[in-house]
Amino acid sequence: QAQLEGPVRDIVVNANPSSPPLSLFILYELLKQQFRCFGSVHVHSSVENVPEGLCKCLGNGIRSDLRNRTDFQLAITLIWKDVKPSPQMMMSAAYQTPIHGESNVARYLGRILQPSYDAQDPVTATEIDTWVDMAGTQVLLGNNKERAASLRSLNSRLGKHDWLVGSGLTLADMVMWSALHQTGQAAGVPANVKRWMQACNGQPAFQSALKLTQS
Amino acid sequence: MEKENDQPEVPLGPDGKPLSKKALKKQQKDAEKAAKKAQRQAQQAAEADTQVTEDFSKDRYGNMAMLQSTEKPDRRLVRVEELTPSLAGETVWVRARMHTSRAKGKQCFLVLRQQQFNVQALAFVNDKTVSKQMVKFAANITKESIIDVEGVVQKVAQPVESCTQRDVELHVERVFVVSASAPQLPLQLDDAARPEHDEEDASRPRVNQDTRLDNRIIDLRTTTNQAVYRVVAGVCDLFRATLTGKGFVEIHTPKIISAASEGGANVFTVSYFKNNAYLAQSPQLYKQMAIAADFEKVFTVGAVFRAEDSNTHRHLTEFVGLDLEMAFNYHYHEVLDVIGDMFVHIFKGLRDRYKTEINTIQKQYPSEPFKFLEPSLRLEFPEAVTMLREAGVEIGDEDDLSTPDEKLLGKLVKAKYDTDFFILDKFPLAVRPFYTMPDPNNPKYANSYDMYMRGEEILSGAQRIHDPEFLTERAKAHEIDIEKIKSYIDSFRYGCPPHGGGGIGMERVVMLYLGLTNIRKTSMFPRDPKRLTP
Repeated sequence: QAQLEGPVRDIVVNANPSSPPLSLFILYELLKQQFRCFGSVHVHSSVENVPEGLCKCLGNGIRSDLRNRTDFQLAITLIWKDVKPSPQMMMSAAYQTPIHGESNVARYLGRILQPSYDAQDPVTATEIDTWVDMAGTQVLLGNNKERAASLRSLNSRLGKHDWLVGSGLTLADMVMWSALHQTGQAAGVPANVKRWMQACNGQPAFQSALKLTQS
Repeated sequence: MEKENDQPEVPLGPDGKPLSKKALKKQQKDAEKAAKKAQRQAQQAAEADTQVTEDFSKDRYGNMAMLQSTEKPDRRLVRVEELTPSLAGETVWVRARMHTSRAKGKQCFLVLRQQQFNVQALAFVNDKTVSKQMVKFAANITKESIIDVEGVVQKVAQPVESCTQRDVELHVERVFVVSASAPQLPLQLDDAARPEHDEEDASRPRVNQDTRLDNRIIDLRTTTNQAVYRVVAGVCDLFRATLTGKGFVEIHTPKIISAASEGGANVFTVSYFKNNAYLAQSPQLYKQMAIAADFEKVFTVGAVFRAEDSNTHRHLTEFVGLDLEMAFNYHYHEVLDVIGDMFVHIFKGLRDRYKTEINTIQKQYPSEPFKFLEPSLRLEFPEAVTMLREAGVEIGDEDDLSTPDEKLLGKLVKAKYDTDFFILDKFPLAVRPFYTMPDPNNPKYANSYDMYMRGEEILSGAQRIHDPEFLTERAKAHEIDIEKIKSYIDSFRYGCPPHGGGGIGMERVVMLYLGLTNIRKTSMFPRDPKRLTP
C-alpha cells in the first residue's frame, strides 16, 4: 500500500473538453478502490459551453458524507480548459513544472496505484512504457500514417495475446484504449483489436469512461 | 498696451542704482519681446479690420447665453458613439466637450469627446458658411468647454486612429459654446490617461495619484475612469441581480450604531445629542437580526466605516460593503455554494457585458485577464499550510495567514489551478471572531472561510453561532464583556435558524478584478486617514 503524506494530495489535470483524456477516468476508478479518494470537475474561464456530461463526469457533488477535503488521501481535480495539444498535470507548484500529455499523466497515476511499478519487473515496465508511448505520440498526436502503423502492430500483438502486456490489464491497455476512442478509430478496428476492445469494455473500471464515449 | 521702448542712457534700476550687466541684458530682452508682441498685435488688428466686413458666418458661432431653460428647440442631439458611416452625409447636432483643438492655416481640427467616446471634427474656411473668423473662434475655444456643434458626417479615407469613431469625421457648420472652461486646467487629460509603465513614453508627463484626487472631477473624465466606474456599477448590478434571482431580499441597515460590534478600537465615534454613537464597521449584527426575524436570505449594499489608521494601497476608511447572510438547512456549505456561485456570475457578467470597458482600462493599466473556475475552487486551511510549507514558509497549524503568506498562496494556487479566485475553508478557530461556529469534527478549526482574488482577501465569512448559550460561552472564552453584547445575544433567544454569510468590499473586488494597484482608483471620492476632500 502506498503511503500518502499530508492532508490531501490534490492532482490537478487540465484537459480540453474537445478530447477528454479517457484513461484518467479508468485510473480514477482504480484509485478509488485503494484510497480515500474524491474527484471534482471545474470549468476554466478560458472555455465556454462545456457539455453537461463532462461537467459531472467525476461524480462530484455526491460527497454525501460531507467529510472535509482533508479527510481524504487523494483528490483528482479535473479542469476543462483551453489547453493544446494535450492535457497537463500539476501536483505541486513549488516543486514541478506542468507535466504534459495524457500518457505521462497516466504513468504518474499508475505509479501511485503501484509504487513498485519500476522496481519489481523492469522488463514488463519497459514493455508497458513502449505501448503507452505509442499511444501518446503515434496515436493521439500522430498523423494518419503513424496511426495506421500502430494499429497494425496492435493487431499483430493481440493476435497472440489477450492483453497488450502480460496476462492481464495494464496501463498499456488503458491508455491505448483511450487513444483509439479519442481519435475516432474505435469503430473501424481490425478483428483482434476489436476483440480486445470488447474485453476492455467489460472491465468494471472502464464503465464511466465508456459512458463518456457514448454521450 | 505699448510698453516704453526707449531706454535711458545710463540704465538705472528701480532703486535708482545702475543695473548690473545681467539685469541689463534681461531688460533688453524684455524690451525686444514687447516690441515683437506689439507688432504682432498690430498686424492681427489690421487683419481683423479688413475682415470684419466680410464675416458672413456671424450667426453660425459664438458663446451661447447662459442656458436658463428659455426655449425647447426641436433639435435632436446625436450621441458621439452613434456617429458611424451609416450617418454619412447627414447633418447632425452634437453636444460634446472640446478635447483638443489644433488650428492649421485655414482649417482647424477639433476632437470632440463624450464620456468614453470621441470623434474628430474639422472646421475649414469656405465661401458661404464658414468664415476665417469662425475657424479662429473654434480654434480659441478653451479645452474642456462644452460645445454644441452642427456638422455633416463624412466618411474618411484613412481611419482616424486617435479617436473611437475611426471611420467618420464631422465637418463643422455651426459651433456654439454652452459652457466655457477656464483656460488653465489643473491637469491635462492626455497626461492623466497615459499608461503608467510605458517605456517608450517614459519622458512624457504623467499625473500622480494625489493631483488626480485633488482634481477628481477632471480626472474622472478620462476614458479609463469613465470605464472603471461603469464596471463598478456593473459589480453592484450583478451582485443584486444574482442574489435577487436566488430569492434574497435587499435590506437597509443603520450606519449610526450605539455600540461597536467587534472591539472598540477601530470605530469612528460621533457625538449623538448628549451621548456618543459609532459609525458601523459592518452590517453584521443587523444582517443576523434579519435572519432571526425570518427573512431567510438577505443582502445589503451600503457604506461601511473603518477607523484603522492604515495608509496602504488597499485600505479606505469608508467603502461600499456588499454583505449577505442566509439561513441554511443542514450544512454551511450550502452558503459557500451560493457565494461561490455568485462570484462566478459576477465574473462572467463582467467578462461578457463589459468587454469594451475592460479593454479601455487595459490600455492604461495593462494586466492579465482575470481567470476563474466554475464551480469555484475550494481548498481547506491545512492544504494551504502544506502548500506554503512546501514553498519554504514556516507556519504553525493554527497561525493566521499574514499578508505576504496570502500573496504567496495566491501565486501557488494560480500556478497549480490557474485561477485568480478561490475559497479557503476551515480556518483555525483561534483566529476568528467569537461568533464563529467551531468545526464539529475538529475543535481546532472553524466553519469559517475566506475568499481571495489575485492573492488578496476580499471576503471573510463563517457559519455564525445561533445558540445563545453557546454564543455566551464563546464570548466569555474571548474575554468579551457579556453586558455590552447583551442585545446581540438576546436576539437569538426566541429561535433563530442556523445561518452564515459574508461581506465583500466593492472597491476591492473591482480593483482586483481589473488588476489595478490602488484602491483609490476604484473609489470615486476616496476616504482615507489623510483625505477628506473632495
